[in-house]
Amino acid sequence: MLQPTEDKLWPHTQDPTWVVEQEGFDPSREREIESLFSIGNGYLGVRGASDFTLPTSQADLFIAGVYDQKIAPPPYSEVELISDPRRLNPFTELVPFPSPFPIKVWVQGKILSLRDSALKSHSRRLDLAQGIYFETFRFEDEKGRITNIRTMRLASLLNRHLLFQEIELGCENHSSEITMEFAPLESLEVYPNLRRQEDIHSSKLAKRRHYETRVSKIFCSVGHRIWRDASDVSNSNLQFHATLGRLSRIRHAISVFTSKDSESPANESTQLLLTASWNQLRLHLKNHTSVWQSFWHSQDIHIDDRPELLQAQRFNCYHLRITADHDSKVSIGARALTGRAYEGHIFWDTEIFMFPFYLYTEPEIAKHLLLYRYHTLKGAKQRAAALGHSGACYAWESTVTGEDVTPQRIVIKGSGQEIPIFTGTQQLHVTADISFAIWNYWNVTLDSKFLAEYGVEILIETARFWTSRLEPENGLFRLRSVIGPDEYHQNIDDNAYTNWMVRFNLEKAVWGMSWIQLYDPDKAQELRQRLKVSNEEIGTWKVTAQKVHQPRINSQGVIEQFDGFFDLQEVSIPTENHLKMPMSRLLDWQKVKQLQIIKQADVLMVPFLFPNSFSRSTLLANYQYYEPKTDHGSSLSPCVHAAIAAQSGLKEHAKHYWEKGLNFDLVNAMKNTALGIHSGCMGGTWQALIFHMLGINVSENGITLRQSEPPVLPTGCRRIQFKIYFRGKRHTLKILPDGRIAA
Amino acid sequence: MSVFESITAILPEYESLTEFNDYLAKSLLISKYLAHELHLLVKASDVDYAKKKAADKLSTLVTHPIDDNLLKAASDAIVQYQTELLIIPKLKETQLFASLLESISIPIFLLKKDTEIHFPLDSLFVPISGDPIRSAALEFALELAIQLSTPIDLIHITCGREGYCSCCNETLMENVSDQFYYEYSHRMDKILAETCPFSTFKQKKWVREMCGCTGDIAEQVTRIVSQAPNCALVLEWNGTFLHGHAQRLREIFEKAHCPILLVRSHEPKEFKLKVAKDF
Repeated sequence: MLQPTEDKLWPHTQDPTWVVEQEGFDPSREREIESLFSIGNGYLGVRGASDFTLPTSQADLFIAGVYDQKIAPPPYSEVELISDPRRLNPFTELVPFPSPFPIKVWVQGKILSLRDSALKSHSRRLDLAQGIYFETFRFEDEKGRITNIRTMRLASLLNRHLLFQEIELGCENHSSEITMEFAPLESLEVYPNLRRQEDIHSSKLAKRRHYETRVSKIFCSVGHRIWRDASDVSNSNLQFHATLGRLSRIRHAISVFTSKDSESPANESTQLLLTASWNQLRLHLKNHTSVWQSFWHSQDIHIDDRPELLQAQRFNCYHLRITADHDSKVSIGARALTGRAYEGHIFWDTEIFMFPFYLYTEPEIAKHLLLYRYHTLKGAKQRAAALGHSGACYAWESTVTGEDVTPQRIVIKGSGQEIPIFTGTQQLHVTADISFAIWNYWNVTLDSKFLAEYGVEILIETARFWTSRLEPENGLFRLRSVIGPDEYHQNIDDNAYTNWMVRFNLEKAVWGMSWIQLYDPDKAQELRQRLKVSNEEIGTWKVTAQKVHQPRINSQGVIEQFDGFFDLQEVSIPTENHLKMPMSRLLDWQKVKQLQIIKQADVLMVPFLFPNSFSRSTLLANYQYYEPKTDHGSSLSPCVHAAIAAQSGLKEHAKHYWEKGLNFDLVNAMKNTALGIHSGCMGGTWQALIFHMLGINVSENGITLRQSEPPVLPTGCRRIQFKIYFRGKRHTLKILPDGRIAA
Repeated sequence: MSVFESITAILPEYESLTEFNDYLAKSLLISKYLAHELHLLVKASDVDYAKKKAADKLSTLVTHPIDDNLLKAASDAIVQYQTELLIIPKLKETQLFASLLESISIPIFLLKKDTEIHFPLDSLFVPISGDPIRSAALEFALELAIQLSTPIDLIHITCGREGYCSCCNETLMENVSDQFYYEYSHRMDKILAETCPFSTFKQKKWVREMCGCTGDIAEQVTRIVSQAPNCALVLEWNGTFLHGHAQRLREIFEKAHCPILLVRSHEPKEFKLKVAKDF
């Protein structure tokens, strides 16, 4: 797979499908590029800001699970969150820490800068195969002195607390005094959550910088150890004489520990670096790339004949990998660990869009994502109680406790218009989505231990919530005042997707109780006693599931999105306006509610998750009805449309939407990649390809190809090969356009 | 501390002594707030008068006679005095005026007969396109803002396509996506990072508001600045009247009564992200 260059110290991958490369320097695109070129290992993520940062760079380091109280936005923000009770919550915002990678370099006392004309060339490479970021600079000052600098960095997959940076400096036509400063003191104005201290604890460490979050009081220690040409440098300000034609090489090891990891993070940080050495770091690099190779070996997709699509798919898989960890106390935010937007909050994106990727490639990670929901079950129960119900209601936006951290309203600065946010109290389907993920996990792994210890309890508590929340009416159970995936319509009754998922949740709770009775009667007894589950209650779940209100279906087979949707005013959205949700949707939210205009796939979510439950004609009718009414105001929408179009026989639609989702961040489709990558979109696009376009079906009978429609391969692609995990084995599948599985 | 070391004002033509005096007074006022030195380019016959008129106002005034070749005189003065800002009146001869503007690459302070200037200014208005490209005008305005302690108000005007952005004169107007309350709160910061990537946190604090509206760009810009009695307008242009927004610029020159600062766009940087179509 890897074809490293001759340069053994800088092993670039040659195959362009394994690399994302930027040539030239456009400072206006830095924020976007920083998101794309992020590195990480699930424990932490560092945005791909240049080693020579711009004043406006968001050179942030994020540590999964480190949250603090929301700090008021900077003065030029246009949205104010007002009188928001969540402001009292100490865990509402993922804390950005300063990246430890920035450097400053002076040649003969003159600083090198990206700002002036001295930067003659610049490039970045994100080596997806090895999980390494490379950057090169060529500076020429006004005296004609040419200085070449190459840097590389990585977030270790072997030791998640370790970051590594290497810098190579060469004077092309001069010999000069060089001064380098590592991790210069950052302005805390752009890190308002942090207090900072610095010390030099050990003579071998260049520096140790400590941070503490203002309200949640999480302590973080970042240690730095630096070597130049194999010798320790006990100062982060390095001075040396660089000789013409001779390369100077600097290695920089960085350790990151927080008070969430250890009682003594500063000592841990120091100890890790004291065990490091010039040579050991090289060995570490080699082992790090081996872990990446193992990852790719277990799940790489080959899209023949379309290298740009293959590159994009690998880029998405890379980001999904650097986002996830084996820590069951954290989960993945909407923008992962690559940006400040969404404040690190965890939505349904994780269980419905990202989770299947992990489930079928790295099931251990998938398990930890579900364990996060188990660890926040207490918060979900408190939330249900606060809403006046029993059981567990998961937060629409969650951080570490399970408490809901969705803002309740905003006011637009300037106009003063106040806009309520209903999602926190009405977008309840996330609770059933989590149950769906538990079932999905069980179906793919048959991990009985997990199901018995954790899964069934979640199914029980969530089923309880639904029986409490549903309202009986004329022999049926209705779910009023909710929001479905389409957030343009609030306070609606009986959203088709939500009701379907609720029914599923209730059915699986019934199934879970009977399963555990057979699998582990003692555990079943323990659960019944501890959670006070009676046979009568289980019977209630069963009956309720059968009587959850089903939506209207018109003569063409179109499922009504919610009660009354068919009666709203019809609207059609021009295709060129897709992915552009105009501001009026926000400002005129009450008017928009009256229109048949939807933000993202809603009804289509049902066949996305249950592809075998609908006939082709039903799928086609629903796709053709809803697709023209959809804004695609969410990155989660294109992948669902690709999936359903493929199953409906609309191949060109499927390819169009799939490529849109696949390249979503690489082409900055929504012009918001600067705020972080769209990890849900990445996961959803992977699902759309495997389970819908290629038609892979997993069931009791194993892995089969769905026969209703031939596979949809990208135009010009003669074969797609991929690996998926299913029930203890990794299966390699090669799909041809005619639906054959190649040997 | 002044924004500029040196500025140059040109007055090649005038209809009356009153007009000359008015122009001279405005130039002196601008230089008082913005520069250490003012160089005045006038006809040879006006040199003595200008010196006499301005001598007690500004010790660093340097007068310089201009011959018939206005463009060359302006270029020479820029080089000779290392001029960073050129003050010019709106000339009657359209072709000459256009040529003068096109030949000057440094920022231009455009004065008209009816231009009203009062320092300190209340606002620097800067129209922005919304595209993720550097804005020389906004970068220039940020420098001015700090020196003059004058906040910047951005203007973003959209065309108002049918069925889209239908509401005019809203304070905000752009596409939003996903959870607007998270995306939108970062918008201004993102715009500033894209348009002024080298600006500091301290500079960015001077950006006060973003005024968004729909309609004809020249009309809307003129309308907005007319509602602010004591402001300046910082406009970016590509340095030629042959393409782009030249017609809109002309209209704004005609209609706006506030001082107009004209700043040339940066040359686009070579950049390639080797993905998708550019793989």
